[in-house]
Amino acid sequence: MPKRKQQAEEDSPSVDEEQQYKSDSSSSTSDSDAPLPDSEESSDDEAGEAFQQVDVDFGFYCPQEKDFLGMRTLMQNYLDGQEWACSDMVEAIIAQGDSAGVGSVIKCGEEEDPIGVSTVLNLARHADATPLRQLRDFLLAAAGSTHRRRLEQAWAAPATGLIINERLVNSPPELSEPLQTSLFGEVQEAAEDEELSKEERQCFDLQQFLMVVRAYTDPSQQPDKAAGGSGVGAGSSKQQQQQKRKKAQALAQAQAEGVVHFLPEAECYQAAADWSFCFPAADRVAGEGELQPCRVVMLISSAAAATARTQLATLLQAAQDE
Amino acid sequence: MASRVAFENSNDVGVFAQLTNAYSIIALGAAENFYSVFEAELADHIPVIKTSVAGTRLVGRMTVGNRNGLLLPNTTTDQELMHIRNSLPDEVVVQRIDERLSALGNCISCNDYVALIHPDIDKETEEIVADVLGVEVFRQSIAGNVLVGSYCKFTNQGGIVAPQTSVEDLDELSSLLQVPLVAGTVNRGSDVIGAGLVANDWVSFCGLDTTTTELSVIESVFKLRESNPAKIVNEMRASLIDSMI
Repeated sequence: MPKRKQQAEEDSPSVDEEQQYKSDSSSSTSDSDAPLPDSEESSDDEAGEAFQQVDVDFGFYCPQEKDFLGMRTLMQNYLDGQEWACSDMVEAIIAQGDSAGVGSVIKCGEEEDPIGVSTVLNLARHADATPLRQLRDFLLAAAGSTHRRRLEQAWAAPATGLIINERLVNSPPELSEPLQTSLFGEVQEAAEDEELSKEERQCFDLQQFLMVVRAYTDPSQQPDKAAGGSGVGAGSSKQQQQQKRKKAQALAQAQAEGVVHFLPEAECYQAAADWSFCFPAADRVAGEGELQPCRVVMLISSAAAATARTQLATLLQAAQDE
Repeated sequence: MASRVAFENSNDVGVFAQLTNAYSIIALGAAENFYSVFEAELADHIPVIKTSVAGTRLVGRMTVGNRNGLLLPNTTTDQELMHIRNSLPDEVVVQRIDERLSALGNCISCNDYVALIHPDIDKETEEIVADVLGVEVFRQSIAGNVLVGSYCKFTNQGGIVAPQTSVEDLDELSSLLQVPLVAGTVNRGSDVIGAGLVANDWVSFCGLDTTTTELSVIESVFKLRESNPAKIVNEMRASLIDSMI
């Protein structure tokens, strides 16, 4: 076990990402004065001329006991304001980080407090744990009739993992790609790690992933209710099955419309998901005409996740090149 | 006896409750099991008052008191003041004070004999604290933090201070306060002691996340294991009757 920990610690310097946060406000002001000379100034000066660049270091570290309080704060509202056993959940995340080296906390610069946490939990392994039972009840209650059965099936399947991906809203989008790469890389390594026991290795041999993220819905672009309401038929012939698959994909795409993500990886995952649904977030309210906060639940197979990740990479590359 | 309790999924018991040797004040709006834990331990010996302070539930952080008196911030409403005065025994002096630093629980930490206050508190307030609470007042900071009420908690038996406190500071404070002090944490590594727990001479409540080690440190430094609540409360009564005669 010490070897694994050391490996994880050695990993973190190489995974340390130096992120450059480019401000795009300076390029968009059309009738501004002459641009400021290149400087490291990190705040607007009195004249209102926008800053050029801010260099911020982010690091991904193994979840440890000292991060307990920060992680607990991040996970506290996972069930939209309901009381739940988040301390037990955070303990499970820390234990997994210790034993299998799966999961990361994101820290900014020299700060000790985590600004984000990311990990994968095998649902079958932790099925009896109170926090997961509470989460399951919460999601089933929020799921519509079409998705309840799918969710139950996915939850009961032996190789399903729950991706926990929480971070502060204003985290830069450039964090998403290295985070996803490292997370899935760690899962892969854990599935093949000789030092872990066979059951632990099997736990990380995951075929599909369940993800619950925060997003916004645009009330002016609601998906067609008719498309969303179509149930799953009981056809058995091949043609009907093909039609069902096409319908399911169209359904998934219809569900994805009208949803505005602030996590770039969530957008790519939802586009590649087997199915997804969203429900309004109970603990946050927004005014009329504004984007409404919601939660999106999606199931994605591991192969589709890999394609989504390459798509995410291209998306972010394009954004950076602008 | 140290117990673990949670106020609506928050481990910060010291924010929502105030506990002294003569009375206890709890915020409104908690689940019944929070009240029942408090009342089970306390109701037989001291009055347990449910109220808001300044319209908020942060009664632990807005007020400060000991068995001699209670200080309320200037934002306390008249009804709240009335309600608290009526519910407390007559021996306890209740005073609303005009102080810029209105979160008194964060700025002042006291037991029945000594108080530590925020270095920037007004001279007038310091005099009122000495008068109403019947204590000797010292302006101090703890481990560089001026919010003495948040980063330490001490009773007549002992106290806990924030873990960053140096050994020299700890010795100095201990000799000022004349009680044994220990540097520790509460609620699984939180260094905000005053917000994380409440304690008096015979009982203490801390958050659900508090580890067994932290709990045993709390019990030993506050000397809660051999405590006898009836004896402590009666001692107070005996001394009062003495003075009337």
